[in-house]
Amino acid sequence: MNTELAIIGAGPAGLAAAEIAAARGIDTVVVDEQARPGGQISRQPPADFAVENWLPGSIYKPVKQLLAGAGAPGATRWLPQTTVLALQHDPAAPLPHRYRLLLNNAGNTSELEASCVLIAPGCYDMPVIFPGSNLPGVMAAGGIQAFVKSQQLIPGERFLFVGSHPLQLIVADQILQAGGQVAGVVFAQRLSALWSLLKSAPLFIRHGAKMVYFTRALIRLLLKRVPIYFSRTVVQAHGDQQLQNVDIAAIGSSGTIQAGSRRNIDCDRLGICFGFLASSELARQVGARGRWSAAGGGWIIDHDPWMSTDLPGLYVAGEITGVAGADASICEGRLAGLGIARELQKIDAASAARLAQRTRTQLKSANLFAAKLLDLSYPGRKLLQQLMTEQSMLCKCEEVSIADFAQCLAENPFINDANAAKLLSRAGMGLCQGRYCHYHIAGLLAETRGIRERQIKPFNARFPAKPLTIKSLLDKRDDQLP
Amino acid sequence: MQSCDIAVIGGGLVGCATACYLSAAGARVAVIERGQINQGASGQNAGSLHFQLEYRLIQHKDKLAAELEHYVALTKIAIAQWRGLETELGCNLELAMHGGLMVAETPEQLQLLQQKAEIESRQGLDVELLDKPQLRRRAPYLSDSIIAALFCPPEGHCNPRLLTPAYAQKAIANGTAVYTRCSVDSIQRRCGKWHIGIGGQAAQACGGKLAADKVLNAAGAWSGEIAAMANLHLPIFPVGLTMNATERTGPLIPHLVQHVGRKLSMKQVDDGNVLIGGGWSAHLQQRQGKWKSDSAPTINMQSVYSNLSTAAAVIPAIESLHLLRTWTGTTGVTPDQLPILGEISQAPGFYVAAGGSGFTYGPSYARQMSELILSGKTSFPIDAYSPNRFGHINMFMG
Ligand SMILES: Cc1cc2nc3c(=O)[nH]c(=O)nc-3n(C[C@H](O)[C@H](O)[C@H](O)COP(=O)(O)OP(=O)(O)OC[C@H]3O[C@@H](n4cnc5c(N)ncnc54)[C@H](O)[C@@H]3O)c2cc1C
Repeated sequence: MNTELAIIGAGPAGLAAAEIAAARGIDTVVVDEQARPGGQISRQPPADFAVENWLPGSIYKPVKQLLAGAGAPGATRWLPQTTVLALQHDPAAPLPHRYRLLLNNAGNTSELEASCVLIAPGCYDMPVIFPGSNLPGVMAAGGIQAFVKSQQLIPGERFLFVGSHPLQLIVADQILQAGGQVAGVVFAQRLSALWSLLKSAPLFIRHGAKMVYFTRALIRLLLKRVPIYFSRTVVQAHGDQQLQNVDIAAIGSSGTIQAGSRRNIDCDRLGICFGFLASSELARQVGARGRWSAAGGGWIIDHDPWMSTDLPGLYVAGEITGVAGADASICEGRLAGLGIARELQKIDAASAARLAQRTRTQLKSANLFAAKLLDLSYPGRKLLQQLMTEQSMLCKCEEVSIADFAQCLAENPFINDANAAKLLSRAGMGLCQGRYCHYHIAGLLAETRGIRERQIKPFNARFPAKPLTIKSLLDKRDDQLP
Repeated sequence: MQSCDIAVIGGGLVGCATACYLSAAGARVAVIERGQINQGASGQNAGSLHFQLEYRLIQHKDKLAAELEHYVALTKIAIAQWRGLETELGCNLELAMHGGLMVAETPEQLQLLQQKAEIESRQGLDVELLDKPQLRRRAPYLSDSIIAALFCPPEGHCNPRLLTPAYAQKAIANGTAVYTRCSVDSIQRRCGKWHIGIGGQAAQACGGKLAADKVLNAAGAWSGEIAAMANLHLPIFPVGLTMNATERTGPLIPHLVQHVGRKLSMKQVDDGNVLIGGGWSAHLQQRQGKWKSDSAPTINMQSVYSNLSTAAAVIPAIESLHLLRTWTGTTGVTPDQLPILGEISQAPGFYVAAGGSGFTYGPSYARQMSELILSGKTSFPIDAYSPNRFGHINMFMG
């Protein structure tokens, strides 16, 4: 089957684009892995859950508005619980066949062809490597939040959060409000760094709602006497089969962790919150041009003012262009929607430019806020690399330790590229295709070889984007889609 | 300007192994590689050690009758070399030589196996035709549709991720200079020396040029492009191929498995993954109507489906395994399917080693080429593979 537009990802960016596409009469298919639209920020409870007061707070308003129209039967076709396994571009093919997607829905595979594709797959929590980071009970803060948001479930009893991203305040607050215990929130930054964000007057004026939201969360935590630590970070997680307690230590003024200052905190869940990485694998698979951004999500994808990549008809929006949050994602989704309408001649260039104007202004402002936030929350390579000990696992799938990787680089001095390092060390060759280790491999290579991360080509992203059985693939039926 | 005795172009298996043997004999060698060591076919291939005559050769057995005679002789020296390779290189290469089966499903295919067995046995290659009951005992994982197989005891596989870097390490230890991220952009012969112009990200490492007494073109699928820089024709054609790897699983397939009538190769590697390939095509990318030679071929989904369904027809148990990844690589083929090894007579000092099942035979090509380059003679006759069998295309070149 084919369509004019395939949107990958039904988060804020994808939904904003879908809304415009629908309004312009573009034949659209939206594909998302989740059961219901919304993405990470507004992960919806299952349809038969009645949740009162779901995601209170005005910062969720724009996304909730987008969601109101999403998923309903209509001109737009929604494909929930569907994974894109392959995205291929055939420059020679006539329009509706220009892009080919191979989809997987619960083991049923099917093909979809599209004139234009928007990749808006969002981001995932940056994995951080330290001794004990593999223990059950150590989770990504975003993962904990997904439980609370969609299942209204507290996945543990006593939570400790460590990281450098203020989101951990929000998740800690959500846990408290849902009735869980929070043992503490540990920031790597100095207190003054967080203050500088909170007291930045221009930000307060433009992004008041968000700032109030953060501040409120902080105040609620303080009122409940949750300890909030600064200039400290996790050095080890302990437990027998299951997390029992965590060592944190002070970070000195030069950024060096002071091993002597360890303190042990009891908890059965550790939420890790050092920032986010862009999900760029499909864009890399199809061959879109990108670049490295250590603070902004690792490998991110380049685009023009209409969110078009260097491949004709291929658009990107949201975190994949650099992690910047939901507001920026919505703006980029709208611009992509207009850009696609423009390319498909559903709108004339002048009207598109006029309609885009307000969104561009909003995007600028959202990006300003995002840049401040990134500045504040990027932990830096030095800190991340101090957390890794020789025995910590760089690649969980293939069980390659930091020491194994270092030895491989030492024995093969002629290797200075991520793909070559992967081939030799096996790090990144497993089930997750390097989602876990890619970011750190770039950092380690840069450090050992004295080169810049941005000179290093990213991992080749392979088909299938997620593993599936050979039987599922061979049982492909072309008439699958609704 | 930097100079060396021999400039080796291409950091694949053939380039690194030849550099290793040349420098072991005391020659001053430089390897020039456009990207990373082992980034070409040598790091992307299936790792099969093909000793019995392959599908691609058997399909043309009548036309290739004379050539096939030499081929088995080369096979025999390759087997001997592989047996000692882990000791020679002093490392674990995940080498397995537990035998290979070439299976047949139809009476016609069985007949082909019989003819093949006859040629091979006559030349002294150890092969054994197994019937269905024997197969059920020795290879119970095979589908019921397999009626016979030709068993070749020394066949097996080796890990391509490890072999070329092992040679590169040894070459460096022998004193070879390895320049990566350096692409050869021009080749000229002046005053009895080869002058090689070098570009790429790290060209400053060798000052952007190198002078050498001799050049070995070991650029695999790209060796036609390299030859053209020296104003020579080389009939090497790039081909895009597809490979698939499953998740890890318990011991299932101890042999290398191939098919006599269909494109298929399968094996289970040390880590437990099953690799599935066998020569299914991938699209070579184009730019402005020409081969975009610096880009990996793109996957042709039809090839993937056909490759996997052929595999499942031969070993049904793989259907329940997850496909972990599919990748592509580019290899070079010659008009007669045989390798091109030797010096081009129109260009003294310009050597080529390319083509053929270059993973299986790479170590042997390297040995012979190092002997030829250093002494003008080889311990095994390689005249049948000389580039001069296509000499007429260079009559007006050089
Ligand atoms: C998918 C696949 C599966 C295969 N399976 C098998 C198998 O199972 N068994 C088997 O025996 N064989 C197999 N082969 C064939 C085998 O891999 C090749 O024959 C062999 O690896 C060739 O080695 P090489 O060193 O000649 O070439 P390569 O490994 O391709 O090396 C050539 C190098 O030259 C470099 N280069 C190119 N241009 C320039 C330039 N201008 N300047 C500098 N450097 C340059 C390239 O970057 C490359 O690294 C397979 C091939 C493929 C693609």
